[in-house]
Amino acid sequence: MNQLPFPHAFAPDAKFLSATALDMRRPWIERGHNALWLVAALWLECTIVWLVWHWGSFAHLEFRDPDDALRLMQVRNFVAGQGWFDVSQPRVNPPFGGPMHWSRLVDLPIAGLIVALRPLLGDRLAEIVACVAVPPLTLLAMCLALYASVKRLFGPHRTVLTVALLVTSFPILTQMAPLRIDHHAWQIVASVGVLGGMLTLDPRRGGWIAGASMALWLHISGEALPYIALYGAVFALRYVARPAEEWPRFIRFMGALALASAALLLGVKGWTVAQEIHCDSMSPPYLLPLVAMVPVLIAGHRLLGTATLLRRIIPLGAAAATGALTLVSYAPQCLHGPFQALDPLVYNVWYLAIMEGQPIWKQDLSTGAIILIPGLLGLGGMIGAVLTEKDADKRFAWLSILGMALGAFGVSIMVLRAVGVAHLLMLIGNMWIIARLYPRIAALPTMAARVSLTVSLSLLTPFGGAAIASAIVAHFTDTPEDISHDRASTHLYQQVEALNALPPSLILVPLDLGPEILLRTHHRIVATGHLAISWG
Amino acid sequence: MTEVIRVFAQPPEQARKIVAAYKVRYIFIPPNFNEVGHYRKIAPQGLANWLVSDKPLPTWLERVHLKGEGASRTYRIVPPPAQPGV
Repeated sequence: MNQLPFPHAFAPDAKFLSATALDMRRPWIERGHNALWLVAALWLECTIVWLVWHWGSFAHLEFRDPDDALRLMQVRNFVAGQGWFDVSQPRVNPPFGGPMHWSRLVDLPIAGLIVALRPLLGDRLAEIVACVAVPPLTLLAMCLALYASVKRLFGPHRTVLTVALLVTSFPILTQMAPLRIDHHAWQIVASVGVLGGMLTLDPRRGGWIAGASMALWLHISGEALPYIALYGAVFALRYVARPAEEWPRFIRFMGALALASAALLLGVKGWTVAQEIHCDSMSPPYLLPLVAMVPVLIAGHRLLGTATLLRRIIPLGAAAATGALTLVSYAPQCLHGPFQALDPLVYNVWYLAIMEGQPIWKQDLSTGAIILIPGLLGLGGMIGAVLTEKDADKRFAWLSILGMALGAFGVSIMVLRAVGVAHLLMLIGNMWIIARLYPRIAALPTMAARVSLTVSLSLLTPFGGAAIASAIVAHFTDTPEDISHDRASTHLYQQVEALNALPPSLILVPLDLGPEILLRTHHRIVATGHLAISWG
Repeated sequence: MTEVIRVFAQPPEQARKIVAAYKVRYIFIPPNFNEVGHYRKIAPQGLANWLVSDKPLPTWLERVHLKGEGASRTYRIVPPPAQPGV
């Protein structure tokens, strides 16, 4: 795994050999696009498994989360002619309509496929195919983005191994399963873009990629906000450590983040909505601090230079203070987080019951272990890589990935739904452990030892780690999984469709059922569990 | 959102006021739905638990049976009787 692609001893013959012959002397995986084909094969295998597993749920679009049903409703409205800037739900809270803040960007691939396939398949089938196909296509985008991001650092063997681990990571794959059309998968893809921008050799290009990816992530969901601070800190620390090399990356990251955020806000929300204050999504309280920080950074860098540690740190502190002051002065209500603004009844009864928004200590033991064990395994691998890496540039890259991973892991401890972003980074640590152990196992003299230990490496994959964690917890707690309600509601769609026998009416239903009512019936509803908290 | 939670978590007579204010025509409740189970747990006196527990129906609700409704229950809001002289 660690061998050089072109051993030095090989060089003297090079001038006498054709390019094809040269290529044939390299390991198979390094030839042509073989590594990329392997990545495609891994994606295809994963997609086929998902399609077979979920096949029975396609015909009636049996979504597993109300967000997916509401996303399709938003797409339906869009395809039916609702305006680009108008994402309200007209059949919620009539006659006013239900205000929404979801990005139209996530609608685009779904709507595009529906419009393209409709003439061939008809409305119904085009909708089904789009909802089934978009999540796996998102996974393909993620596999390719991860491949492109880490190939230069790790080489083709380890890169393919990282992608192989990605397609066994359930916390990530669950967001890419067929019918999982809401925005969560795109958030993880955008996070790979930030990683790729950080690892890109050309710091200018890397800065633009990372900043634009971060802006896209933030526009897709306000859940990206903590990552701006965490990943931004990693880019800033890279600049502090290597000012000449990393300033171009850092300032372009910040600049692209501010510029792309402004462009996306205006281009997707429109001028009127772009001026409203929304603490739970991208809006001026978060855009203005980003815009204000860039000139402070540039001015500080020009005035103070980079000669000493203090001269490098002062502009960073000044920019952070400017950003914080801008937020505090413009929208102090957003300091407490979006959900603190909820009505206390809604907060206590609805918000606190959404387990994916709660910290790890509120989860059941099995879920907690599935988050912690693969995460700690990955972190251990990254720390091992930092301690053993001899090459200074690679150690710097490992340290940066470790910094991002620690931040993302911290967020996933606080909010369960962030586990996908954290585990994506942990895969790299998992990969390092396996890649480190495998050559030693392969060199063992007895076949039985080689086979048994190679198989046991699967326990170090995200799937293996999660399975062990889950098995240990089940052994000690003997707690049956709480899925009885889900099983009982398998054919809920039929019960909802029965409502079509009634004339169009205003119906009061549980909040999480609202999207299904909108999707499958002609009725109007009072509310769904989707809020747009706005001021002014 | 607040009003929907109030309807399901408050006793029937208080829920009635909200339903009337919003001019709701029907209430639909699937007993096995997680959210309904949550309302039943936190508000045993609330409308959700009242309906699912098969207690006597409040006078302002009447059951509607729909083909294919399965375990779900649908209730029509009974309009109040017209006031004499109005």
